[in-house]
Amino acid sequence: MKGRQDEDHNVTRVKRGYVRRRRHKKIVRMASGHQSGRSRVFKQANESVMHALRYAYFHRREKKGDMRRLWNIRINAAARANGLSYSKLIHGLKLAGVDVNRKMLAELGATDPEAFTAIAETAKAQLAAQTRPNRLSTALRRVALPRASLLQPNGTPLVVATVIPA
Amino acid sequence: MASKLSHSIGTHTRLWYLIDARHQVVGRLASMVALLLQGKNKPIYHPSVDTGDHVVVINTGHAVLTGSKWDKKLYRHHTGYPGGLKEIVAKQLHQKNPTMILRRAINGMLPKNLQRKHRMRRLHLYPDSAHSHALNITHQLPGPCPVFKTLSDYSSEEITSFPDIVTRISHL
Repeated sequence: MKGRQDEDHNVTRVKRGYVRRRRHKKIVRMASGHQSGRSRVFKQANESVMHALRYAYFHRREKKGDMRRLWNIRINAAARANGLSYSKLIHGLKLAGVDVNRKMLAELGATDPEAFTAIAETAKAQLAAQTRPNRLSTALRRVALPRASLLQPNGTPLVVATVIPA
Repeated sequence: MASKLSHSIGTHTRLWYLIDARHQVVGRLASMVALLLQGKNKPIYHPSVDTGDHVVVINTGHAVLTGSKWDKKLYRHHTGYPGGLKEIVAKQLHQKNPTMILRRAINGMLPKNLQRKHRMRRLHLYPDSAHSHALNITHQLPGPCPVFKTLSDYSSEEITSFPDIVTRISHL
């Protein structure tokens, strides 16, 4: 009867003891390597760790895009060393049905140049095999006229300017 | 992650490229040089490591600006004082220092980060064909624009023996 009337005093007394210390130590330990107070003082470390964990969460997702961007730059470099641009290479490989992913293409470009050259050749072959008979501009581009040339009366081009190899 | 099997000592060395800027369009040349300074032509490129090479550009005094840019293109800077906007036309800047136009162009084409200073230090510009890096040069690269012969490059015999075009066209 008496206990039910004053319920506030019925709860067992709890001394906090080492609980807070252990919780804080865990956080401060996670903040190791952070600047000055943020790696030592719990209040600052707590904020620092909260930011760090949030950044880690989002950047784990961003890392996938970052890596792909890096692979693309490397593939572009290797492709251009083989006379192609990145866009042409990828298009040619799609046409050829080559499904090698960008990670491996970048890896080959850096470590196995001969393999990459072979891949570039398949892409080039596929691109060359693409014919577009109805496009006048493509047909005109294929005609190799020297620059600034005039046609003589007999039909042969008259070269006015020459290109000097650098 | 990457296997180092085919990496040799040569893979990570800094190369020295020589480019002749005579009759090259400034912007197009600057674009090409900026890529070389960053090392984006290498399949080992990484943004945190400076994989760039040295680039020596000679004859910058003979580089080309198209259109009327020599008279109209303005290079501006502000001294910080009120009314201190300084403007200089490309022609005058070129007379003052024939390497400045190309230097500013390349500087603007590099990513604006802490590596830009180091990359610009690897750029060596010379207004004429004299340069002091003959022992270092590993490759010579052609510029992005095709080089044509000017009238002064033809010998007098070639000029006199040139077929008479005007008369031919009048017959058509």
